[in-house]
Amino acid sequence: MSHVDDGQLHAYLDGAYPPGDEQGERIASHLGSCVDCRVRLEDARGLREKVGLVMRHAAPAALEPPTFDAILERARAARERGVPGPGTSARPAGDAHGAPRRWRRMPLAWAASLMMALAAGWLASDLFRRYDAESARAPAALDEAEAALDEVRGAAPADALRSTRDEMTASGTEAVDAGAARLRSGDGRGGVQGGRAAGARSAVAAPPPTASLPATGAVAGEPPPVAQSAAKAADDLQRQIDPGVAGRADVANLQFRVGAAAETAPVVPLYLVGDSADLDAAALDWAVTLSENVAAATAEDRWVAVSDEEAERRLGVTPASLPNATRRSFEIAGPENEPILRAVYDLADGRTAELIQRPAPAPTLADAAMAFERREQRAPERALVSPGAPAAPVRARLATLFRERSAVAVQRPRLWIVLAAPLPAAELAALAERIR
Amino acid sequence: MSVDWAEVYRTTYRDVVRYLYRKVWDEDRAQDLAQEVFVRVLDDAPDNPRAWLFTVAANLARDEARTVIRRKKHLTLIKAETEEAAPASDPIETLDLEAKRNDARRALDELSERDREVLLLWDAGLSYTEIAERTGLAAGAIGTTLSRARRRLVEAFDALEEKHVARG
Repeated sequence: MSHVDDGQLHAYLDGAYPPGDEQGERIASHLGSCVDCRVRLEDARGLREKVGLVMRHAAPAALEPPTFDAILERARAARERGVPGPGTSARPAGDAHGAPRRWRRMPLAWAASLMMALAAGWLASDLFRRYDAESARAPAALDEAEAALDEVRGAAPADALRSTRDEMTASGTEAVDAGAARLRSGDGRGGVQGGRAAGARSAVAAPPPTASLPATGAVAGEPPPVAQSAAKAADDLQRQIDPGVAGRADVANLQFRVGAAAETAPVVPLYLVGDSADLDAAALDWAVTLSENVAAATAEDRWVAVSDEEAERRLGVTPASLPNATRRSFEIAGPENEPILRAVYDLADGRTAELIQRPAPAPTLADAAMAFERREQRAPERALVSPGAPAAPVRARLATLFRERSAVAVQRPRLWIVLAAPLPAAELAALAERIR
Repeated sequence: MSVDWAEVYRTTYRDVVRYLYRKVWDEDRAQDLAQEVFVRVLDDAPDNPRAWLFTVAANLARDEARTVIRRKKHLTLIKAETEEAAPASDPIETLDLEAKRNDARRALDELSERDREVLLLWDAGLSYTEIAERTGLAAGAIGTTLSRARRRLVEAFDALEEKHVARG
């Protein structure tokens, strides 16, 4: 058959063709043999994801519906007052325009619709009511959850998405799994719960270290070089955002969102997601880098068991620990100035949780100023759909990682943490809160 | 055929609020209208309750829009600028969110009525068949409409974001 047109592609993507549908089968068969159309399908998927992102910006805050009894009560009250109540919903929509009420069975619905648009405005087609019951789509919660996943996955270009997904699956996930299987036992003592209160300065959220951001590549304990201009920018920034500095740190400290299939899947991934798109993208970069480092260290079998004291010395800060869980192993890998710490905990029911940590550069106002500048310069949302942008594959890889391993990223002053455990979202979130 | 409205309410209320919010751009009003929708359909027994809800919702939103245009357009706009911001602890975050929300709203507003409606209904969870029934479009035209609507929405949103970046 000839290529699939955009409408068919989107319909196919949206699951509009029921199983066995002739048209749907034809499209599936064509997609099986046409690389171009498969790429277009992925592009359409990316577009749909981006739309989800935009639509979520235009959404009301999460809300608790009133009880259904309250609705019944309202209906009763309406009846008593004699105002429009139950049963008045069938009021014809187009009455104000004098449009006839039942055009629904016109043979050419689009033509009718066009006429309506000319005559009475398109909304008047509301009067085409009544339906054939059709299979309802997935519940809203699932959509929302999937949208959250979409946000992380971003609208990565089709090719990048495919290749990085494979790559990540091969390197990150399996390597980490393999590492977990080769655990040496640690010293068994519980880690010291890091409770150091950060000063006002260190409470400023620092951008995570990434290769592209030289200022944040500094080793923990060494303050990054502060250029005069940066210092000035920091002061300016301080003046601008002074009341919000502490709040910003709070936002950065723990940013996660329930991932795919919240209602149905037994294991729910959590993603590092920030309301600040820049922080989000940078943090994702960091989390991917961290997981890659873990994978590399695991592949080379460079993990060595360490004591709490040694871990704290190497990390430069008291490591985070998982409260109320037995630590099975406590290992470190990486060069002296770039340590990665990995702890495996036994959870109550025989499952294990993995805590991966590495030091973050000491946050400074200069860091904050640079993060602020980057955010002004970059349009992270656009990066999601720009084929050349690094953010998209990074996000795709992290999405894969977090999809296949239930994980949450936590940021503490001077410490980056990834917690991975086969737990439902709520439990994982609760654990993350305790770590924080 | 009777309808278990309590169950429909449980599963659909949020979708209806979201749908209405994108028409009236006021959270409280959207919730109030959504509840009104359920009040009005209680005695109805449509074949497809979900889709019927959105028809009633569209009617209420349209009536609402007329009222707003007549009476309080100015007030509503001001409200949209100042009161819809999500509570955020950080003024920069708040500004970001507000800017994005406004961009998303403007991008949606730039769509044609038909494209926007199909997009909103899809986002509210209706199937192609349901969207076709509610809008009067041919079932085969939903995919085409939706693909165009999606493309235009993203283009419009990106263009607005681009402007912000250009302005620095």
